[in-house]
Amino acid sequence: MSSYGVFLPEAILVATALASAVLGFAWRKRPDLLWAFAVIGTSLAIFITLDMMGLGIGRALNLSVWPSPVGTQGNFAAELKMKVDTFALFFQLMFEFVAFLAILASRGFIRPEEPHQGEYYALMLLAVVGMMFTAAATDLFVLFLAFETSSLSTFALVAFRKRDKQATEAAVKFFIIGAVSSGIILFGISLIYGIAGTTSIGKTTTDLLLLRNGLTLAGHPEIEPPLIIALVLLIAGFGFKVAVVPFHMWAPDVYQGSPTTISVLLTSASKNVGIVALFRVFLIGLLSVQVDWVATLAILAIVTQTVGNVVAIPQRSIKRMLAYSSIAQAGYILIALAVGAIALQSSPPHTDNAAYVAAFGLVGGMLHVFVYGAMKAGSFLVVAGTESRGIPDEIEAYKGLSRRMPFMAFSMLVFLLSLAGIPPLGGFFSKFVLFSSAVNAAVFNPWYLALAVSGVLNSALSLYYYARVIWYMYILEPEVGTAKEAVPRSIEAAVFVALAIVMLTAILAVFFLGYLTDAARSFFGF
Amino acid sequence: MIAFEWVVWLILLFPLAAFVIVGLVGRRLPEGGDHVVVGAMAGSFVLSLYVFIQVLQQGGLGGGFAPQTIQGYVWIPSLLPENSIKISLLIDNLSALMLVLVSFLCLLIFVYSLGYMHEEDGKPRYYAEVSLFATGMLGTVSADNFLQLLIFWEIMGLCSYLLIGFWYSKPEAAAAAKKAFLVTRVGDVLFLVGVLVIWNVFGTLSFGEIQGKMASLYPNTLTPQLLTLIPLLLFGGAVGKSAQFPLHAWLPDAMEGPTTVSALIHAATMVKAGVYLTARAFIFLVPLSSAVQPPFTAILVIAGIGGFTTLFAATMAVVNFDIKRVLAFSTISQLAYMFLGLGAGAYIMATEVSRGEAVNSAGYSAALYHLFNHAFFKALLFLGAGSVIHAVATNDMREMGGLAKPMPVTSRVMLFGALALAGVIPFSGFFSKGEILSVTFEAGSEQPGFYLLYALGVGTAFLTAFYAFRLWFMTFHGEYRGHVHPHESPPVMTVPLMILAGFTLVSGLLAYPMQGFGNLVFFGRPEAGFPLVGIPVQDYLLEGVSMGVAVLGLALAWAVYATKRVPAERFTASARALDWFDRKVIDGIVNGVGRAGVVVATGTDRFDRQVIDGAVNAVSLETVRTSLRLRQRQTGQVQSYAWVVVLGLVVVIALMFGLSFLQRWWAGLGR
Repeated sequence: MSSYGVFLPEAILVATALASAVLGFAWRKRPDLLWAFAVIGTSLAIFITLDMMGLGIGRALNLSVWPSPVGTQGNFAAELKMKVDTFALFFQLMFEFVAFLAILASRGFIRPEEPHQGEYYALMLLAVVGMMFTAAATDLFVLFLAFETSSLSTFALVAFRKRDKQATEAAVKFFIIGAVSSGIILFGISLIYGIAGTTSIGKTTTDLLLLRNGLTLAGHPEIEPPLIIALVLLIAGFGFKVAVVPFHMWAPDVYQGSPTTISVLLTSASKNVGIVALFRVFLIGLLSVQVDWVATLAILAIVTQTVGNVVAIPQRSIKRMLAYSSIAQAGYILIALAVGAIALQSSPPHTDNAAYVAAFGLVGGMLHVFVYGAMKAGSFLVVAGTESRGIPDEIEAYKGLSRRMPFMAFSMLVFLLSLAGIPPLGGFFSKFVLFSSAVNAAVFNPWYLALAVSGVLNSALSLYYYARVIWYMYILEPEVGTAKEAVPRSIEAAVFVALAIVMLTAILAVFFLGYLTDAARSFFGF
Repeated sequence: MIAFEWVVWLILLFPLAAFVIVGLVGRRLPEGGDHVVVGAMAGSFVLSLYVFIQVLQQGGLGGGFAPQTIQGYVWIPSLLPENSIKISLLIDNLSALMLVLVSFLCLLIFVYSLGYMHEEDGKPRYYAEVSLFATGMLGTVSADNFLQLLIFWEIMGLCSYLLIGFWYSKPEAAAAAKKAFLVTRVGDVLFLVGVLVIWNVFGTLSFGEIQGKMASLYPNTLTPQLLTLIPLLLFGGAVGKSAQFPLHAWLPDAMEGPTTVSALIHAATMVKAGVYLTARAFIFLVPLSSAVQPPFTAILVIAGIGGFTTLFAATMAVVNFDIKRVLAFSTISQLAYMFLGLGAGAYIMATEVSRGEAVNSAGYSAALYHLFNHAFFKALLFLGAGSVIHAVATNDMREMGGLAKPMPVTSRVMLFGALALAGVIPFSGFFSKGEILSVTFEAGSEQPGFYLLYALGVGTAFLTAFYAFRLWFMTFHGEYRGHVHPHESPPVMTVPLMILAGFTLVSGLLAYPMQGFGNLVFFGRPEAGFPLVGIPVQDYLLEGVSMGVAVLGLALAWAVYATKRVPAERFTASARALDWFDRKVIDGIVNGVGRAGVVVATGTDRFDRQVIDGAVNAVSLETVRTSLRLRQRQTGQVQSYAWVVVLGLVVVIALMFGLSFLQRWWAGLGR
């Protein structure tokens, strides 16, 4: 495999995307063929990614994507680089996998006579390619470009049903706030470039450290003010994608307004693009200045969890409730970011406790990203299934769902319990690792305990609104009769895959914990 | 050794796979998937036998086999790798023996179920649950640490609950299941607390590591009080699971389940888990280091409860007419023998350790020997009883009698079982029970209290022979008093019975080629530095006494129930008084505790409702109010969203500056 071979999955996805855009015209009458084509393309990409994960390929590759367009003098050389390491591969698999679920369910969800199906699949696949490049980027500009690729595709996808007023409104909101955020990210990146003189994520951390120490020692004006503004801009810009409070306002409107398969992509994959960007930029690029950002991020994590859960309580729409719950879940994942910052305190042989805790925190974050992707995608897919039978997007309408659609109701039950973190489901396991890493981190700074406590309390709080849905589904009698209703096979299949993952993760996690630990350690360079 | 490790894992995985298959698609399989279950169990048995033979071959006699931990995976990771909890299996002499025993009995009883459960509805449920049970029991005896043991232990508890309530539409069965679950729960909580205390003290739960750390932690971290407390807490779990006084009430009621379940779970295997746990707790009772003072109080409690329960339960068995309840009380009594043997043995070993002498693990091996023998003859008696019940459709022995003619096989194998239970030479019960009594007598020279326990034990031996033959004569001798036309059971049921009957003869003599059963269940580790011997106490006088009382009991049963020369009432009056005592006083105390619990619960309930719920409701009300207010912020206008983003930016920038200022100020203070 040549060095470019590590991009084979992306290449396949791009090819599938372009081809399906074209074939969309040819197969206008046969959307099922188009669907099959997209499913096959995605499966192939997943297969190759899995193969690469198994081989541990790419760990050593540090690939120049194109020759530097900027001058190459001294310290200011710009190397536009990507690195497909085990860490990136894990996230890439996650993105491909969520896209696979969304595409699989599309056949049942998108009506055959709807126009523009070619573009629908093409945009979805291109969004995934953008996400995958984001996971692999090791340069702030590459990261930004990849990030924008995925954003632009998703803006368009939300407006896919252009006659749907709610969807169009959501798309416009998404686009405007997204554009503002892009500006904010770019501003942050340029400030970092101005301070550190490089956009390479690996280099910024050492440069910043040298610069700060040098300047402080020499009695120069400190770099703190511009650095802090840059940090906040980056948090805000990526935080928009993740829907970190207070940059979350768009999320419920957009998740509710988009076609539900697109909501799957947005909540489970697109949100995690922000997470992976935060991991790369903050835990690698800005690790040396972690003292400036850790406390703020920890506070944002707690605020995000609490606001997400509290506002989810009075929601009447299922999709909105799930949207707020996904905001809260993002808050849990931010714990990994705060714990990962402990890596700074680890010294070269990297066998000390600091290295262990940091890696453990990151493992928890990755695990939760994965499980969260499956359970959130699964719960939105259930909504897609019920919507396809004309059940409105209201919690009230789920009365007695266990009688009408037993499998859908059972799956929803499992997803919701897993979101709340009930053992032995996947959500419990990943939260357990995540929170216990925060407890372990308390050895270094007792404040970390607050993160674990907040996580546990918030999980308890969240059960309140999850349990309400379960109560509606299982305890209350249906109003419209108990006749069984069939859900499209493709949606059922997608739900089943997500269900299997959520139920088996806690048992099977042991088999890839080793992989995750390796990935986390290689991510930090331990 | 890779193959060996896989074999050990497969022993557990076979029944687990059977559980999954039958649980998922059992309804679609022919006969409810019974052959899947039997096949899986057969595989498990063959592999267990292989492991057992390997252990014998590699170690030879005398505990030469070094305990081997089959590494699994890290289940709960921890900051310090040695503190993380691993799922791994332990193969040593004891667990290898238990694996064979459990899988063999499971296999026989599953085969028997093919006939016994043939006409039942809900067969897939039955087979799925017994497979899960087999997984639980095999996991319990092969666990490498206390937590894993507890988990499998709880799986067994769950299966026991489900299977007692197999006929859940019968109110008695449902009530019995609930009772069993709740009563054993009391013990389980103590066990759990014990596990937590162990973790707190040792930082590990693995048997081997605990034993290794014992000497270094004593007496600072591991205070003498803790060393007494830990085995007592573990024994609390054993009291619940093995139905010892005062948590014995659930076992007789548990006979509401199918007889196969009574035989498997409530006689041969699960109730033995308590004995097994206490045997594992020997690492606390007999610390193999003269620097550690052994917890004599805990040992005396174990032996005392064993001694009392054994007589107490035997008297109950004398007065019951329900054939299964007689056997249930007999099980309690026999289990109590094992605890008595463990306690007496531990006492002798502990004194020898504290004197620095060679340690003779005779009591330990005698108790486990009895466990081994009892598993066979009690399974036989239960399955035989099942065969009888199958034939006459009643449990009441007053409606049986004279069944020897229509059921020749059953009556003969039951005779074997009764002889073994009574302890008549050369049947298996004689050897192990005699040895337990001899060890108890020997312990009396160290602590006179054991002479009393020995007297209780001998009295029980008499009662045991009496009720065993009372059962046999009432069922098989005399005239038939029932209404249904009895018939012999099909071969699928009688063949397992005959195999078990053979074992009541063989299992007792097995100890001879092994030069004492102690060589099979060797306690201690060669590296501990103590010369360990497992010489059984051989005192022909004592053996003669226990044999003599057994014959006396047999003769009395003959006189009362076969020839009817002695009226039954005269002998059962005193036992009846004890029965009354049990029903009124013990159950009264249990109920009183229950009622007191209800009173306390009502109080806490009120507190909970008014204070806690009040607080929770206030919080939730406030939360809902806040959330409604927050929702109003969500206007849906994109301009306002953009404003919030900008506002948020300003707030976060202020926050970060503020925190960075605070940190520097803090650092300044530190200087």
